Amino acid sequence: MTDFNTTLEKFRARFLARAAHDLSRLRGHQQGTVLAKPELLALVHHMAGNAGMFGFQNISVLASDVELQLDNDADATPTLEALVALLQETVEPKE
Amino acid sequence: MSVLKVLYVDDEPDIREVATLSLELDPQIECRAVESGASALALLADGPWRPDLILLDVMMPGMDGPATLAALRGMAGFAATPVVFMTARARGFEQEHLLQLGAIGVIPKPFDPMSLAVQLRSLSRSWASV
Repeated sequence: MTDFNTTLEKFRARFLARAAHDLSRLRGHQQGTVLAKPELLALVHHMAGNAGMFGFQNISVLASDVELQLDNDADATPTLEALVALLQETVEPKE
Repeated sequence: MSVLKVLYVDDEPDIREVATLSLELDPQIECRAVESGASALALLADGPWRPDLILLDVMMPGMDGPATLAALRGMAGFAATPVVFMTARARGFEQEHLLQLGAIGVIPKPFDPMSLAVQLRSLSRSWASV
């Protein structure tokens, strides 16, 4: 089981690396380098699945909410802002 | 306990690996994992390996889970192979829709790696007893 937990830790680290990249893309999106809707949907969908799997339930919930809002053509801006803030806290924690 | 051969289809490499490891916590589960519906269909068409159960991610680029299931049902020899969907969008009406497509169960993502094998075995047993 320890081996399995070690493996999960490896994926957790990989998730954080990918989240940093996604955070950069989402910031770009907010600042004008707009992601097309399918691209944004794919990003938050993968984030929702992976975050939940690797121990970041709060990110998973917010990413799912953004996905749902985009799917329903609702305004996802406030939820996306909250997601970006949470990602920032997670991948760029203050000392 | 008999060997349960599982084909797992998911485009997310990390989740694919974790699910495979989770299923293999049960030494009587033999799991093969592929990255797309098209790869799954190709593997099945090539034979001779035949899964007892197929675990299908719902949202995948290209051929998604429901499209893969529909194609599978059209393949000789796989009309009745039990399929379980796995999805991050497992609200009630969505689960119901997936079951209506012919799946025997829906496992929400994120799943518990420690109990995934038990969940699948349980779904497989329930299906076999009907």
